[in-house]
Amino acid sequence: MTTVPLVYEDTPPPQVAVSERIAADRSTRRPVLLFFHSAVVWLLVGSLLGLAASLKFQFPDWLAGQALWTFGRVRTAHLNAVAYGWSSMALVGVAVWMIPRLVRAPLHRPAFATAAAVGWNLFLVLGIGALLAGWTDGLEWLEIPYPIDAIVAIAGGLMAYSVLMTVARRKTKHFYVSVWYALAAMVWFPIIFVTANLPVWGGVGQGAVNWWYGHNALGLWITALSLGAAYYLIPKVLGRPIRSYWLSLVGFWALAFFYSLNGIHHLIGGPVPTWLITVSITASVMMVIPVAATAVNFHSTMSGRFGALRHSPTLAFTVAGAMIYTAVSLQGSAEALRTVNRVTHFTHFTVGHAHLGVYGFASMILFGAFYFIVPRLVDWEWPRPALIRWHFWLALAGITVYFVALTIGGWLEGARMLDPAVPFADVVNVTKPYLVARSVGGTLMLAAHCVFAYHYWLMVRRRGPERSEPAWAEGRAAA
Amino acid sequence: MHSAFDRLSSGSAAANLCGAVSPVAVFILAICFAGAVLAGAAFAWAALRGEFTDAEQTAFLVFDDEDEPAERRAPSTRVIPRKHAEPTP
Repeated sequence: MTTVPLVYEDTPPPQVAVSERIAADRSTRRPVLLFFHSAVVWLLVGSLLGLAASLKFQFPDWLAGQALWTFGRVRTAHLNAVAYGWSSMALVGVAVWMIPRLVRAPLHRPAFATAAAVGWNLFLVLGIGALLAGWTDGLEWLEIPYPIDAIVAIAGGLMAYSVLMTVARRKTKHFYVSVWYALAAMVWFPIIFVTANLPVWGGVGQGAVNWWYGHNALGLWITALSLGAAYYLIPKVLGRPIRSYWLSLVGFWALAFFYSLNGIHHLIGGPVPTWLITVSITASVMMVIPVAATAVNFHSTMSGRFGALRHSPTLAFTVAGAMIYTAVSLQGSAEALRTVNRVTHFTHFTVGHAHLGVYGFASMILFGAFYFIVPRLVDWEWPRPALIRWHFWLALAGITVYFVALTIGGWLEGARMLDPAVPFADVVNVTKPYLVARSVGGTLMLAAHCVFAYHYWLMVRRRGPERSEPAWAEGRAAA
Repeated sequence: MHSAFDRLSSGSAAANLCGAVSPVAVFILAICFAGAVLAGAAFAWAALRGEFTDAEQTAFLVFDDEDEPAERRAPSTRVIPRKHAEPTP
């Protein structure tokens, strides 16, 4: 078979490519490991807090003697630990590792990125400590008091400076789509975070700004960085480029133009101008365009190669996350419609949807990224491939049980709440079995995280058997 | 009790407009519009510098950081040897 070498202006000679890759990896190793270590710790902390909050639905008197452990505080601490601790720190770590490789330039001022990781942890320790102590701004996704928020604003600024200057010193002419997503996220997040935390909002306006921020934190920060990682990992592992690079650009630019209005659909039925909510619903439905573009692209890239899922942990997690991205996004567009929202609003349905997004989509891609990046950071193969299988299936089973239970239970809850003849106690009672299933799902996810954290600890300590080939590689020749 | 934003937006012709359609609605639309303008500026900048002229080839940038770079080949025949990497199916 003859091969056709492709000549491209950005292509470096092989020896140059290797030296640049080594320089990039050397510059990012310390900050990325710090971000990753921290993320894994916050994953465990957040999971424990989440399970504790869930168990309180079955055992409401458990840990109720002290205000510190009451539901309102524990659940809030859980959200902040997983959103700003696990997801954000891991995503930033992935972006800081990936961008220097993609622009063929070492990370600019790695000490800034390291300082950002330290500052980010300080923000989380103080912020979650404040929440557990009862000091809160009282706004979902913005609970951490705004004086403490200043710490992460500074840390984020340092990190963004380091990344943006790296891109400014790039040796490539073009940006790969992952760089577009990461750059945009680094610009968007500081804008929405600082704006929403300005101490000038009040009353109804504060609610509107709150949900404008809350939804954009998902779409313009977590989603953008997660998709950027997926666009890097899937072609990389398969050894074939993304099927249509044009479609990937359509997905990115559609997100950039239309996403920011989505959040107000959380206030359907609230004291906000109806036309503003209608604009938001329209923008939410328009998200079908970038989602369809991304879904078609990922699927056609994988087409004919699904057998590779058995031989690559990275691919298994990332493809699962990408498929769930399609599902959760289409569900979100449907949920924004008034006819659906009047049933699901204020129910467990929304909780299931949020977990499918942040866990089923973003966290699964992040796990895949860890399995790809960490061996390159520590120059050691994952020592126990069986633990990766346990991690994958426990996580997938956990989120499946969690999502299905809360979707069904939430819908039944909402339908009953709309019936004035149904006493509220009956509404609560109908959700009980589904809340038990929620705790079962949470337990499975916590078990998955314990397995993952233990394996990660083995990796970074270079413990366990030394292996000469990648995890799950056995039998790949036949695949 | 009025918020600082409400106080700032009162007492002017602009405030009358804000009052008629809710100041926060104006603010949210304005900041979303600013975001779209920012995205438009980025898009125009990218287009002017030729970012989209060779898009399908840009897809290959992801392979420029190979651990042991293979010769750039047609996708169906690529071979990517790596020491610490995922297997190539």
